[in-house]
Amino acid sequence: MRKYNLITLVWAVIFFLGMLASHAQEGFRLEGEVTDLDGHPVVVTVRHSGGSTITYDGKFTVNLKNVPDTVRFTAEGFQTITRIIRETGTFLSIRMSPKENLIEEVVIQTGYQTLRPNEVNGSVVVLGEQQLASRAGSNILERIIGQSTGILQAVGKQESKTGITIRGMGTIHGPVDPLIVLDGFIYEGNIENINPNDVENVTILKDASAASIWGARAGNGVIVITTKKGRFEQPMQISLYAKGLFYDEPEIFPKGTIGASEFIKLERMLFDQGYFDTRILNTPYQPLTPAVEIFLAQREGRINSAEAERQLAVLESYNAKESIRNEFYTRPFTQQYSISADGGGARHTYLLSTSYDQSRQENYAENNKFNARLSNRFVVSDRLTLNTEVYFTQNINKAGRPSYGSVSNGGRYSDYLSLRDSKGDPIPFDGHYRRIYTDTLAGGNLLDWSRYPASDYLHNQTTRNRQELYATTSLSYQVVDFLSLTASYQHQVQRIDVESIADVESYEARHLINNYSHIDPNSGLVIRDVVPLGGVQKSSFSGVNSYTMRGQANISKIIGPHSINAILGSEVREASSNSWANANRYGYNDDPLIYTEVDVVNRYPEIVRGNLTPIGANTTLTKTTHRFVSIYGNASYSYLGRYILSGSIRRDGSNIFGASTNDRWKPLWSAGLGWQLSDEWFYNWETFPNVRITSTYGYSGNVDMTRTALPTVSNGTDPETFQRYARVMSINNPRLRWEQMSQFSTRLEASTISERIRFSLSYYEKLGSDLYGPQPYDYTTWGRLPEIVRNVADMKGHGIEFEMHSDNINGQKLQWNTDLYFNWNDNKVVKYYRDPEMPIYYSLIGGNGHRISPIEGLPLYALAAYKWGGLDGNGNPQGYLDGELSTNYSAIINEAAKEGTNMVYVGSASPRFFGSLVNAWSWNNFQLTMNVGYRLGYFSKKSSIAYSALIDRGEGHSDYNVRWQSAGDELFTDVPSFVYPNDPNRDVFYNASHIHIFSASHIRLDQINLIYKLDTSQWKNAFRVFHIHLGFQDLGILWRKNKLGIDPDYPYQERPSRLMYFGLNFTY
Amino acid sequence: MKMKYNKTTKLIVGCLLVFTFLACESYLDLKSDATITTPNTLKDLQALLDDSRIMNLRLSPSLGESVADDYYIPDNLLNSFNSVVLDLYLWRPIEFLGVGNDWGRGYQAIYNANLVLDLIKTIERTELNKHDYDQVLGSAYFYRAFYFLDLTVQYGHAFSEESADKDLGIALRLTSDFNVPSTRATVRQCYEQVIEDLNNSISLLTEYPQHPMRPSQGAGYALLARTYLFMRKYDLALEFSEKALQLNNQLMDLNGDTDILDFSSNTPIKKYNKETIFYAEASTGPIYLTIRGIIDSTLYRSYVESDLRKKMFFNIIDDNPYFKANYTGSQVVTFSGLSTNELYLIKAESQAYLGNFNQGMDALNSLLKKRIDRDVFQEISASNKESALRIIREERRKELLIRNLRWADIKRYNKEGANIVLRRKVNGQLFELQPNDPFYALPIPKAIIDLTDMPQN
Repeated sequence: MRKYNLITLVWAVIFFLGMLASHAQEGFRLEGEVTDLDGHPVVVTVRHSGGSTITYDGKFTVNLKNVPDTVRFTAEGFQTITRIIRETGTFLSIRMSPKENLIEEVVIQTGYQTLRPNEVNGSVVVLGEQQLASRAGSNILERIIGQSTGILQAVGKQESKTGITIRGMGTIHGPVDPLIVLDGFIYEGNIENINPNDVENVTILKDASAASIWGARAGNGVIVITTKKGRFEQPMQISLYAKGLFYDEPEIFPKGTIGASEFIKLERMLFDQGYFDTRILNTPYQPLTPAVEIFLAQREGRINSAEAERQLAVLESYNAKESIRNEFYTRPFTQQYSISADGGGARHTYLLSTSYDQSRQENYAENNKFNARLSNRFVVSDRLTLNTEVYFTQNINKAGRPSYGSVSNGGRYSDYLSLRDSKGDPIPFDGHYRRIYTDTLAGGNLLDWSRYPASDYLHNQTTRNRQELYATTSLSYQVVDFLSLTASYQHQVQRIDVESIADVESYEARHLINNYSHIDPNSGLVIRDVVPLGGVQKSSFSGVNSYTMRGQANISKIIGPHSINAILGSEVREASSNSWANANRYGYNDDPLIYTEVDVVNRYPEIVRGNLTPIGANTTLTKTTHRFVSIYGNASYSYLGRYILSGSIRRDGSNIFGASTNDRWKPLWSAGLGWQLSDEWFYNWETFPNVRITSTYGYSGNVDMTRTALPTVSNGTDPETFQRYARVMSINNPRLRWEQMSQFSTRLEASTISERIRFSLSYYEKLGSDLYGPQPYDYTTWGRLPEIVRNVADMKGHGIEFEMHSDNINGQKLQWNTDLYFNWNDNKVVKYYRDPEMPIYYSLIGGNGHRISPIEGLPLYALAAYKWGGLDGNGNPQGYLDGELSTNYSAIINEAAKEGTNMVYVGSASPRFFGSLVNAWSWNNFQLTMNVGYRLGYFSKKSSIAYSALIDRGEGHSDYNVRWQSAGDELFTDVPSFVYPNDPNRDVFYNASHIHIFSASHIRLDQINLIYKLDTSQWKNAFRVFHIHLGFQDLGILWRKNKLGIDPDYPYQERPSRLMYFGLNFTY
Repeated sequence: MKMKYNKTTKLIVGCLLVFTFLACESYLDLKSDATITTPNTLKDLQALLDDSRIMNLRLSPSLGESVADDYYIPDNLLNSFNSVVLDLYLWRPIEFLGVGNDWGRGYQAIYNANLVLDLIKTIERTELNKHDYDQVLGSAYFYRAFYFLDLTVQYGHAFSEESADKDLGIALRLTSDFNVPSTRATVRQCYEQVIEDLNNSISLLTEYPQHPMRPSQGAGYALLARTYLFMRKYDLALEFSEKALQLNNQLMDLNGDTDILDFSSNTPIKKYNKETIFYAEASTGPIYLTIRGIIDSTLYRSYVESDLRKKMFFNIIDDNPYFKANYTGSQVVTFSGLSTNELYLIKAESQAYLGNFNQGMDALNSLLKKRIDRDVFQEISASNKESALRIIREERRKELLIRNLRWADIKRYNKEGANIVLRRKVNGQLFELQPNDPFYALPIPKAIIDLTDMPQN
């Protein structure tokens, strides 16, 4: 904290000196005027040896300190002019020409305000339409990847729902996702609902200064999405858009397989060793695999050895992976269409757009999305403006075919399966029970109890229908020239209906019907009075509703060199969600539409095992309501446009927080200082005519919406007194509050003449305090648990961001730009409770770095492992016990839990250095961009064979084929030998040992994008814009540090498929 | 003109802010997750108190009973226990880690009582709900008093007028907000809090409970009688034991009673029998020491042959007597609640102490008549206060065996100069606990001391 005070002091001194300097004016008098090319006066800053002066009417009088002198004239939107003055006394006339490549000025949307970059001290990134269009995909968040600093793709991290984090982590148990804001209001709907083509720009608020205006939920940064609007005084234009996205087929079975004949050999061995015997004897209905059935039939003499061999040969010819791929998988394909009309007159603008996305996913699931949007602006009077936005989305998803993980015989996998026989008919599989057992049950009169993976899915239909209406309206009244009042309102309704029908031929229905069938002892007939013959229909609903009411005063005033920009407002917000699942309907038939009521409460015997079980209603009902009441203010003051002082303050009350938190006035605030160094009189570095330094410090919050400050109880009936009892499950905490993130951030921005090279360098420190974490507490209070979750943990992060934009070639025909983004981010847990009995790294053992396991002093995502001592001469993995090599696995595991001496800490599982390099070439009508991403300085963990999973469930791994098999193999392989009977601790040790952790540093080719812009200027009455896009995405790894050939972000996991897309874009 | 705008603006902005503040009061009171039951109705509060596992069962601090002198553990069994149990058995200070201890259990019930007392403030007492309201409020006071007393007896020294203002008792937690730090009150403050809570509860509760696990006025009087006895305020102990007996003076007759089963049964006494005024169970303590221990042979021999309790109370295994006659209907779970037999003994002892030794013996004889074989029963008498007190206190020990009372009694008698020295012989070695030893205030769990900076005993 002391460091910040010092920085503040230094700033104050600089500020003060600067003010003094700008008033010290004496020397050579220079007079003149500045106009644009048409002769209109320009608001301009005149910089010279004696300081700098701003003029509003174009006329200026300045006192030069010395002559000759260099005088610079800078004005917003115009090219800077530099004159060398050798003598004074003459009236100087300057004509400024507008900046040519200024297509549209960048504006920063904070959600509450629209600001220009020089009014903001905080760290903000704005991604415009063009950048958003350079990536494909229907999720707007996918499109912001790799085009700025501060954003990290949180690949595989379980806590991350959006898949991105801004400036690293700031919380341990709280939500890690940035807050999403759509058109000025917090967006609680499904992010997939927002069609990227409707988005004008995305503003990312990275530091506390920028985000703290969003208060208690802004701690992870804020992503402000602003949709397109019509423009004033623009004739109607119609834009059409079509795009096709072609993905590669996914790689299924990413862990690899053992292969059919090896697998049969393995099962033969297990069978011969008697592994299956207890099961066959005690639970003869429990499914076996096809090969084991053959071995058993042979042993029981039902088939002879020749027949067995013949049948096994058939199995051996099967390839499970190929068969499943052919049956269930395809190349995903998406088509996107959009049409929009926009325009405006003097007092009204409008935009109407509709889009339609259709996609076929890798498993043939179908997704249809329809968006419609209407945006209007009315200038009612000179003082009154009305904005309205209505956004409607409908998304219908039909579930596809089964996944590869679902094909098994009663939960046991085999590598030699086929879904169809040689004639192309579906092959039956065991479901819950062995077919050989169920075929004869009840005199063979039950429904067929086999699974047919190749055709069962045809009888299961799941439809998910999501609809959302998102509307905002705001009314602005200009009270006086410097003050306007805005009242705005947002309303959102999202509903998701899911209906799933398993018809009578589906396995699900057949299983249920059979399971509860029974035999009439007199007639011997099958009675189906518990679950009737027919299908099973399930339906569920979930809804999200939110509204916000906001009143805001906006103040904007320029008095001479002083400019003030401020807002003050208050807001009331409610977001509620509710869901229910209906009781399943049985005996369902859709034509005629009928179903039968069943008794879901009482227990009925299951036909195979005789267990008494209820059918079960599987109903749910939930409702949550979150309410916030907030007041906020933000102000920036600028002197000469050279010093900018900004600050914000916000206070939130919520029904999530405890009563004493709501009662106390503890607001979140931020402050920042910006200094346009290059405007100073003493600044004279011609190479960088534009240099700016900013520093900010502030607080924002983070709220876990699932917590409650109230005591929660579960209810029951006391078996002794038969009274209802209520048992407290979590204690009341009147001081439950938001987690607090503070961030210090400082930035240097500079650009060369004509902004040929622009760069910025930032350093930030993030401190998460009052984080939710367990804490041993004085259980005199409650006595039930030794630890409770309170706002007690702390963490720290810091990092550097560097970005550079260079116009390498800026010719008439050929242009070449390079953008370089570099990030360094480190974080560590500062305060977190650990049982003092537990060794420090123990809780990391066995983890794969995909979930936060907080340990004081270590990064949130970290990897540790058992020390690895290689394989011994018998192919056994060796660890360490008392510092000596050992194969006593339970003792090794025990030592790790007690002493912790045989473990090794490896490092961060999240990239510490990352960024991207974007090159864009434009030649005549062609434009080519290429984005290369890099992620360095972290570790990943691969998987390997676990023999217990292989024996118990048939889960294979390609490492099996390179396992230790005979003496001397230990020189070539680290994969332990297969032993039977297997010691599960051996698997546990091996899979959690250091051997599996490898450096994850790599560089990947993220995307290549080619646009051909047709020259439409010669065309009559036709398109104003006609673009053709061709792009490739997720092209693969260019360099990796590991020698294993593994994609370190997806070690033995399905990775995103390579994508090619083709699109047309024209405006009429 | 400009002024006017400014005024209007201020008014509008002002109204906006005022509206926000006014609105948030009740706006933010809404429950954030509707499926979470947060107790807020009288029914919910009653349900919190009806959670017998948290409020009644196996909760009363019983370490004191575990280290008292009614039983002993043979060497071979003792050697199989861990060092913590051994230390405790030999009256050495121990360090408790974790929450599975008497301190945590007792305060778990106190939390519920405090939660009810905090939440009931938000409910208005009306003509319609006044019966339920009073019952809930009175019950919460009673439970808090019950566990405050049990904890004070275990973790504080016995009450004595001379030192009660400086002896440390327990933490008197009077709110459910865990942010309020715990501090140790004096023994006098502890007893005063118990009495205050009980007086509050007595005026609110009905005379008899719906179920023995619920508090009642009778239970309030009985607990007050016990409290004053522990404080050696015999006049008040007498007053409240009589008030309690006015409501219920029934005793089981061991010569034949519907609440008594076969003497040879492992559970000879029915649960919720007619003597039970308030049902509560002692915590099972470290590995059921009292139940696995052998009853002191001198004590066992003091039951005369015609005393039916000698047959009903004990299991004789290898000639060693083990206690089995719990009022809990269980062989292993011991009773810590309130019952009429205890009241008779409080009345008898108080009368005798106050000099009315004949009335004291009368009260004792009313009890013994139901305990001794009716064919040979003869009333006993005493010639003076001292002998009456000695007889009554012996009978108190015999009647209230393994009832979580002996430890408090030893402490109390030693404050009156009884000079009771506890002795254990383990593996040939003799261990002693001198009267008024610091160990009589048992150690508070270490974690609590570390977290709160409260002084350890």
